[in-house]
Amino acid sequence: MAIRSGGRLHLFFYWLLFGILGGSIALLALSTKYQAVWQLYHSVYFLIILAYTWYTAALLFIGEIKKRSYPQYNGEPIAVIIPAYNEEPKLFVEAIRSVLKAKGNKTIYVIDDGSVRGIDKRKLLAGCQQFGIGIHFFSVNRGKRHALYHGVKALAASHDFIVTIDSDTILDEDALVRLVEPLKDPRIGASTGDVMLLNEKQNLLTRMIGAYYWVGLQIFKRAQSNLGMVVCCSGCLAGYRSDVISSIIDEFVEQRFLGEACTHSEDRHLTNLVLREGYDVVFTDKAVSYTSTPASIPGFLRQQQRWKRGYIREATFTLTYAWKRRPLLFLQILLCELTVPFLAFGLMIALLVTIVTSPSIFLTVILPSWVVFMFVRFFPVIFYGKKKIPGLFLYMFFYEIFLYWQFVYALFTVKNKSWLTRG
Amino acid sequence: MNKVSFVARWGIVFAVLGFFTLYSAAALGVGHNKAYADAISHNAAFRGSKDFVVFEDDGDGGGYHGGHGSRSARMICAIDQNQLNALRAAYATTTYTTTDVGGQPKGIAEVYKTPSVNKHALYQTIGLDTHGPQCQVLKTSESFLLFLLPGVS
Repeated sequence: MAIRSGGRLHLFFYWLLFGILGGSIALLALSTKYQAVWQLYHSVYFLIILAYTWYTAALLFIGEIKKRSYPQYNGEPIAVIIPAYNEEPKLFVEAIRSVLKAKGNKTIYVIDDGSVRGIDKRKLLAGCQQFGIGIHFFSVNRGKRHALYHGVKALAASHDFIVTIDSDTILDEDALVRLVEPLKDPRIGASTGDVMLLNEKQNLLTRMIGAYYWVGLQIFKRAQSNLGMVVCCSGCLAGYRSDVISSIIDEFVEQRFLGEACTHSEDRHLTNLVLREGYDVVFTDKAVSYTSTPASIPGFLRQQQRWKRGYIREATFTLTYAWKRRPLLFLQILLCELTVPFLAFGLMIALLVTIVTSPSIFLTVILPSWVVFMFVRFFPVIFYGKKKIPGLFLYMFFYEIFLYWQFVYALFTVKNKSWLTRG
Repeated sequence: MNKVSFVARWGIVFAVLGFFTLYSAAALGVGHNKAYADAISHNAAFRGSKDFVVFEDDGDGGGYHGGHGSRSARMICAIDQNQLNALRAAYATTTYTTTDVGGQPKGIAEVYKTPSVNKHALYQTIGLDTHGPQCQVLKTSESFLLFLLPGVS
């Protein structure tokens, strides 16, 4: 029987993170007395990250020399599900227009998740009827997870592929067909596409977020894709084989963790279930979508706080099945994506102490060495995304100052169901 | 992208990564050992001694030990047989033989810093003047310590 979210093994890995955090604090305490412990502590931490850098570079390289090719799209029916809640009307209309324009034999289905403001429901209904778009209204807000469930149940039987997009996502003309082409390979259960920011040039923050998206997609997701193990098909643009999503949708909608029904990070959970069932999940940069990002620091931090809670819940869930079936994914998640941030806690505290007590050491030793390693770590950016370098550099500082601490906070508040940015 | 450009790009990527990895290994391990051997050799050249005591120097003012950017300091002092005996009687020591850069064997008694090992008490036990010519402070500045990376989640 498949391991479910919230099961014993899932909880074990979740509690293990507290162990790593506690271990990090203990190592820091011992480091103040024993130099050898300090050297071991930061050396191990450094070696994990260095190994991850090699691993990512190797995967990217392999992907370049052994490019995956997929069967051509041949008119198979695609269902496009668009859940919406309190969406800003102009953006929503633009999103629907882009789907109408997109190539492919498609059925569009909008699910209004009990909106109380945003687009006028009568106008929405009239517009949908005019263009042959299916629409369903929830009488009350039930959550995006239920909206997706409703859409899949309604359309999966009559369509080969299910594509889900956000109500503020604009699609490129080729996005749908490029997204579903990998799904014609029977080994692949889900695919995700490239996401660009509509408002990237709005201010310094959005430029920084643009660089963060670029690295996340073009380095990490691209690398993961070469092993068929992309861990999150972004809610902006995700494609699923109908038979695969149908087999997991009941479990998906009932997901619970620590005794609570889960509301957010549904995209990552859906991807997790596809991977658990033994299918590959891939990224294709040929399917392009555009979305908006919060343009203020508080808005971005709220979004990131929600994502980090979901990250912890879902990354620990990945461990429950990956240790048997996908050992590389297991090691990647356990060491690089979960151990590193929590093991770093003691280092971050020591860093703060050093900044206060020895600012000259911080400026002359730590900062330059950190910048050098950043440069090494993201060296491919020089060739593939030169314009993103300033934004990426800013993001690194922003991460250390704000986002890192959200990880630790998220560990303690993972049960919090608040969406924080929705409507 | 043509083949030459592809090979050049990835060649550079792996060269940079490889160089950095080797540099890291050198700085983390080999570099410390070489500085250590050099210091012993240097000290021996002045003193002509064949035994040394090595211990961590916690500095006169204490300070934050084991933090980022800490410049680890070891005190290396030439000692004679009587001092070595006194040291062994008072502290748990690790003794071993190493060679200096000239290939001459040198006896090392290493005392690890613990809360109970006080630098000044140690000096008194073996009657050392740490400011005297028989002692040398070996400082190794850790040139890279913290590489916290942005996570993408």
